[in-house]
Amino acid sequence: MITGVLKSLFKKPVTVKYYTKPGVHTPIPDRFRGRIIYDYDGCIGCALCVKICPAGAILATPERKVNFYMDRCIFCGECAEICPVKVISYSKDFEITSSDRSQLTVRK
Amino acid sequence: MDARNIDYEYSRLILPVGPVHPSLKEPVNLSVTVVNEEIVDVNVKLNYIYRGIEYLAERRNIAQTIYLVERICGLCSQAHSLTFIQALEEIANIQPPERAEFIRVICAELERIHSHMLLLGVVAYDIGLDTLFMYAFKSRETVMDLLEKISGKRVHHDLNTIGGVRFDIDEDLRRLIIKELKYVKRNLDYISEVLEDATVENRLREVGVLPSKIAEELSVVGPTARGSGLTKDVRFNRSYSVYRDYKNSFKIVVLKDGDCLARVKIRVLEVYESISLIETLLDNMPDTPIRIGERILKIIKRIPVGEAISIVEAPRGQLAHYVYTNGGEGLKRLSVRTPTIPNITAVKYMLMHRQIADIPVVFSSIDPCISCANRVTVTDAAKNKTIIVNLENLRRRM
Amino acid sequence: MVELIEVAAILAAIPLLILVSLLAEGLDRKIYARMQGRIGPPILQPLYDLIKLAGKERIIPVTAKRNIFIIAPYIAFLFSISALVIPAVTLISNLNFTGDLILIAYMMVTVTLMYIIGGAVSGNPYSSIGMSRAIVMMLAYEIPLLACFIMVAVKSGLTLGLYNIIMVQIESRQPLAFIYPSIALTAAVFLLCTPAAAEVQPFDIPVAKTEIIHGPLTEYTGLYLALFKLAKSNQTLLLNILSVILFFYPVFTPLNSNLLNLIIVLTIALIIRFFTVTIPRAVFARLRVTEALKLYWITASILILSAAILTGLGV
Repeated sequence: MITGVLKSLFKKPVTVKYYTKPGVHTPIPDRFRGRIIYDYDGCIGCALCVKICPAGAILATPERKVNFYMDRCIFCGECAEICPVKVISYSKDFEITSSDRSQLTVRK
Repeated sequence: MDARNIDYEYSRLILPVGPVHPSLKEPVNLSVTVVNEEIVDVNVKLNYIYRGIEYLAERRNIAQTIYLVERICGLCSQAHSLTFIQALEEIANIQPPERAEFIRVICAELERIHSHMLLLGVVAYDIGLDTLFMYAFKSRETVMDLLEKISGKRVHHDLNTIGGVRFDIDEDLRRLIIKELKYVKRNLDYISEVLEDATVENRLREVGVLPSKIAEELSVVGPTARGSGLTKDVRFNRSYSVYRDYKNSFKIVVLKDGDCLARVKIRVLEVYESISLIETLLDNMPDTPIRIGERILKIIKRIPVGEAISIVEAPRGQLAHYVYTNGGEGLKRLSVRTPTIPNITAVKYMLMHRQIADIPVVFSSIDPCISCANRVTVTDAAKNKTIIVNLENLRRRM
Repeated sequence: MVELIEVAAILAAIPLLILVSLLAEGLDRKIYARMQGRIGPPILQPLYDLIKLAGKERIIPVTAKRNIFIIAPYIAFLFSISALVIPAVTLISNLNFTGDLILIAYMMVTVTLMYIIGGAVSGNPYSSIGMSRAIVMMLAYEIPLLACFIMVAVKSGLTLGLYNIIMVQIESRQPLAFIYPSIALTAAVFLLCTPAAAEVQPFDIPVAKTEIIHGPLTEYTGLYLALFKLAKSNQTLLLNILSVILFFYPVFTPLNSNLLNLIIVLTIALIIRFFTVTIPRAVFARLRVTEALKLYWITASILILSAAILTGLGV
């Protein structure tokens, strides 16, 4: 035990920093799902995503389009999968914290 | 008013361990009665975080319930969704492609590794050895990163779907998993060396002994049962999925001592077995599609009325889901039996006549997952009695 | 006039010593983190903690005996810092008290006693368990520690002044522990008692956080907790400095009035701290209270007895 402890005293720490360099995040995996990207004009208003969303984070609007409420989203990716015209996709942006709720809604 | 003469024993103390306590990760209350640091009585109170998941499940369609079920537990998310989907597939009579079953089991085993590593860390923290905690979490982090690379998420993987899995393990990932598991194995060698340390053994050996006879009576499951010499493992006794064909690529680990050290060692040995099983499975992955071509909303439309029970071996032991579909995209009844419920009853026996110093380590050695284990309790204040509502009572509600 | 300057020196030494003891704790935490493969907190973190705690709300439980509850941390802090000032001032300005070793021992016991009293009056079941554990631990390590002081006093020509003990080492041009085998054994006992007195990992039984939350300090918040923490880190530094002065004094530095002396002693004290506090903390699991008692009473008493026998034989 003691040799292992002393050895790791001189090794690089395992801790992964939030920023590796100022402003640069540690690499994010390819399949990571962050904030939703929504192509408003391409949407045909089928509302399949509203039906499948497990968290109820997608609501239909009167113009036969949808709004995404990212504060409720659980990032399962079902909406992107079910969409027949593929207008929903996921970005790698995970810094979506905000004190203003309207910032967390993806409309257009 | 007549003065009552109370014979009070001043060395007797009732210690409320929890609902908030540094050694507990989740709210649970152990009212421990101690006399001079010796425990004479233990009362376990569970219902602090009842979340009503079974109730919620009855109000959603099946496609949504998959994600709800996954969120019962943060550590066995793959196990929960695997159980639920197996039950659904039995009702709907869907056979997922072979490669999907492989990926499911690989992820379940990866999850077993990280769950066991968590337990090792927690036990180490409870005996005051933070260094081992950090080392255990180092390899846990590796496995979590692997799961993130496979599914995009670290905790809730959202991997399973009816009739297959959503993410494939391609050649690059396969090589990465094998490489990283070698690193985990090296770490594990070091951890099992540390567990031989005198001060560690001193805190774990002969502590919280659960003889196999008592273990059988309390019907404990999972590593807790295997630590007491019972050969109980769903993967073996009632194999499902690919475990049916790959029974020989892993061994069932059973130790006879029944103390905390045995329960911790079982975890270490099981991680070795999991690693070897994952390696075998990765080598033999068939080249089929990963899910059936049908869309999930179509599948849930054609699921008939029916009921099924599905049992898998979660990291903590036997996990069972009872699923009763209503034929209209939804569920009539979902009942979840998590491994913590039988295991937590054993805590009282393990703690009796031990010292206060043993409470945290004994309690965490069964690897409790409190939020999974919560049930409705109805307290009748007038009659001063508490009823645990069981499956029969809940069924009557419908 | 000279006395006035000395008083001023002592007063100036107090904040400096507080800073040094906090820095020593920060360094200890940093090394401990690096041993576990973490980055660890900044070295000034204990100071930040202290400032933050001092600004927090001070909650006094209804069940506590209010006055004693408040006064215990102040006494613990004052005694710990004055105990730390004595060896520091001896090193800086060659002040010669007679019998300051006894004073230091008395003050160290008082700090531990304040812990126990604070736990006893806070009216929490965890505190009372912590208190009973602290009493057992005090019995375990204080007696060997006091025996160490007596052995050193006897061997350095029946003196109880730190100045005289240092002078003995400088005159014979050898640290005390290297002159006599009996003092070497005593030094071993002293170093063995250091982790227990500092309440670190294998012996952090009275404050074992996973078992009894924070032992005697469970109910303490705000400034009171900060004072207790400061008292503890002062006491740990004092023990390390004492082990340098009593056993391993760097004889190549003559005792003249400057800070260099103190710095050299502090460096050796930090090295001793690394071996007696940081390493046990990283590699041992917490003992049970009965085992710790057994360890101290059997090991320490055997060592001290053999040291006493050796002293009787004159080596």
